[in-house]
Amino acid sequence: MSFNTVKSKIILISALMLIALSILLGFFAFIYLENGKSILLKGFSFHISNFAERINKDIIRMEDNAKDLALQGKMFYQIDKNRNMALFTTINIFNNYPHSLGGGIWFEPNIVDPQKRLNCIYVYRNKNGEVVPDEQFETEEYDYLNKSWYKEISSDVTKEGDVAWSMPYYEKEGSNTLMVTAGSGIFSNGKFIGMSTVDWEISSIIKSISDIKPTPNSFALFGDQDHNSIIATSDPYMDNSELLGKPLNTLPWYNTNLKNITYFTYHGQKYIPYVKVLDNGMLLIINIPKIELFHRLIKHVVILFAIFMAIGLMISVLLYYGLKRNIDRPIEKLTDIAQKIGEGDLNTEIKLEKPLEFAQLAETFNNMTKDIRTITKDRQRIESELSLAKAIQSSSLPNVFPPFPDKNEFDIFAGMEPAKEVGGDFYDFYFIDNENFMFLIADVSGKGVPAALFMMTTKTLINYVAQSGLPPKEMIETINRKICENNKQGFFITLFAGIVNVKTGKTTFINCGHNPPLLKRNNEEFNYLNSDSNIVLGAFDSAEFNVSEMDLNAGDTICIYTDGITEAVNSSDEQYGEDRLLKRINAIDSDNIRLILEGTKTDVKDFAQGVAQSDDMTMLIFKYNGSNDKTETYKGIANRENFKEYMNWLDNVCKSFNLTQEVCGKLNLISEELYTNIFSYAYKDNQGNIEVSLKKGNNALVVTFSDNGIPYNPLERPDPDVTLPPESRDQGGLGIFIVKNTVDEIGYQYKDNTNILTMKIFLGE
Amino acid sequence: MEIVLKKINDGALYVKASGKLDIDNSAEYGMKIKDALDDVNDLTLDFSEITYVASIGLRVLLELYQQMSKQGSIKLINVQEPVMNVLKMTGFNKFLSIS
Repeated sequence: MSFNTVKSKIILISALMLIALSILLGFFAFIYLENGKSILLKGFSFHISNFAERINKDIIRMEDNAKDLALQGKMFYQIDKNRNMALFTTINIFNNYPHSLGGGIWFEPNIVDPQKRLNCIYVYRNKNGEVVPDEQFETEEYDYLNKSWYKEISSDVTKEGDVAWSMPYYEKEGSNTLMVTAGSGIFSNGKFIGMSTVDWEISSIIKSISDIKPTPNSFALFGDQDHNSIIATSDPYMDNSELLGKPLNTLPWYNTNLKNITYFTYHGQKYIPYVKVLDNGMLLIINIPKIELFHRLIKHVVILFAIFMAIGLMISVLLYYGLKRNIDRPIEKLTDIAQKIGEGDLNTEIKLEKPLEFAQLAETFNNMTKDIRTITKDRQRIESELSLAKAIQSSSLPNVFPPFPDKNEFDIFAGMEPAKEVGGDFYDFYFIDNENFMFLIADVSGKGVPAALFMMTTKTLINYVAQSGLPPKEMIETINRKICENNKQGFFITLFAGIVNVKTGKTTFINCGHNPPLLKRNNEEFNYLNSDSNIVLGAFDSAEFNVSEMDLNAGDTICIYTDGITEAVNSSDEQYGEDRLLKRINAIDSDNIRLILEGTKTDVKDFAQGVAQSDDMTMLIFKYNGSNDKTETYKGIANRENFKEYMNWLDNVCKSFNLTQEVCGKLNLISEELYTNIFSYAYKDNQGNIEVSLKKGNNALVVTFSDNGIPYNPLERPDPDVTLPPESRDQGGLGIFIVKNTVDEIGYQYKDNTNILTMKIFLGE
Repeated sequence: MEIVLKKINDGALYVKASGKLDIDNSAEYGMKIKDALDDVNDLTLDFSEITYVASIGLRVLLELYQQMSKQGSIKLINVQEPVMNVLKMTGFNKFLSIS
């Protein structure tokens, strides 16, 4: 399939549409995705913040608890060292913090009572939820001063209001729950005198952290202020209890987690970390698997993208089929029709109602076909008229050969091959008086109908002027003048004419710009005859023309032709040419001029090898046989007495004409019958004239019987039935029957009160 | 016209003439033969020297034929070609005995 077709353009447009649509869609999908991501992240951020806020509150509460307790310890030390009062107040405080499991006030050694190294007040929430004192911690056996938590907290807090946190731990003795202890220092006059502790059960916090699951596989971490220990974690790949209390950097993802990056890879999974620092400096980190966070969003976008792409594809396909249906199909249809029209089928009609443009085009096609039909019909009419014109033209040229069978003095043969239906060439010949025979060949400039019409006019004109009896020079000048008078179209004519006195052979040639004729003297070869050439006919009316004269002898042959022969070309664009014509015409070794002409015509056609003939081809050949006619005439009164005298005359003529005995016998026989008929019947009872002439030509004897008697055409009389038996025979008409069957030709005419019976007897070789 | 009649034996007449059987001679030729036809049953016309026969001569031949067909036979001998042509042309060869 070529790319330069409407079909491929349609496909291209559809594909471009699809590409543009997918780019646009991709762009929107990208924006949608990014937007969605940011909304999602904000949403999670908000969610986690809320959560962190809740933990924050719990922690602040715990710290407040510790601080309240520390204040209680300070008051106990400074104002009233009443232990019962302090215990009561402590219980009260714990009643205000229902989530704490217990706690107490612990003093430095010997600071409340110099005799008492250990001094503490501790309460706890029993199984019934009542806050009760526990005295067991104020014993040397326990010696809280040596406990690690005491040492840690005392070193962590530096001023009043500081709160320190212990690592989470399991309360082994009691409920075996995960605990954490917050402690606040008790200072008096800037001196550290003890601390308060509050024990919180933190499994609820851990549970809360574990609950922070924005997506199913999210996990969280809770660390202390210094990032030194993990308070809680829900890392799916680690055991929580092992990690608790360890520094944060023991977590494999720790390094990446706190560098404010957008995501990190952990166990082959991409996670987005969310870090929240609580008010007291504790750290809450939520890690969300990226795929889970954006999974639904991406799925959403992909589905949307797919739907839109599907719609786009459908639109493109529809567009393609729409365009194909509305453009490609009509074009195919029109192409088919155009092809049909090209093949000559003019009766096809296209029916296209839409699209409108193609309907209009189809209408134009139909109109065009209609026009072509009309034109074709016109052309056929013109063609038939042209062939009619051709027929008229050919019939206007003498085309019966031999044209003068009773003339022995010459032979003539001619032919024309028109290039188109009608041509501008012509030939003609006729006697312009009793002895002078004119033949001519001419070529009207141009071809086709105009040239043919001009040719017809000119031919008639030449014939008319030629019969006027003017001498050749005046004749041709008159012809030229008359042609000029009627020549508004600027035609011109080349012409070659010969006027031969058939008795003497004296010949006048006129060449008006025509090809040189070929002349063959008796028993020699053809050669070009250089006769004086004049200007073409029709050029200007005052032109003078020269004529040339020569004598033709018996056997001399002249061949004239038009340039259609010498300028015929073959497929190699070679011209037939005068040299070839001369060579070929001499190669045709014949005295028969018809064979010479036909042979030349065949040779030119063979030469052209089927290349269309571009000009009319015309040739005329005239052969002079010489005149050896002898004529003898008998005149007298037809009667029985003179018949003898006539027969004597006839005997003498037979001798002088050197006729054979057979011919003489025939002449005697017909004379007997015709002469007796004339004196017996032509003049009834009177006597009248008889004239008999004998004309001997080369090959025939022409006998003419004339009388001035009553008009009688003996040829009209029916022949007697020679098959009848003698008994029933009627002897009438036998004489004329014998005459008719003795001569070779017989003709009758009645002219100037004279019966003329002309007969021809061929003399044979 | 020179006409020679010879009685060869009883009933046989031989006629030889020279020239043309034309308007001048035909009547004479016919008369002379008719005069000699009494008791003739075998008429022989020698045409060796007859140069031609015109229609009038044919008429004489027809008369002789008609008479002879009543009393015997007639035959032409030594007919020259031009004369033979006329006889054939006119169909006379169909009934005249020619050799």
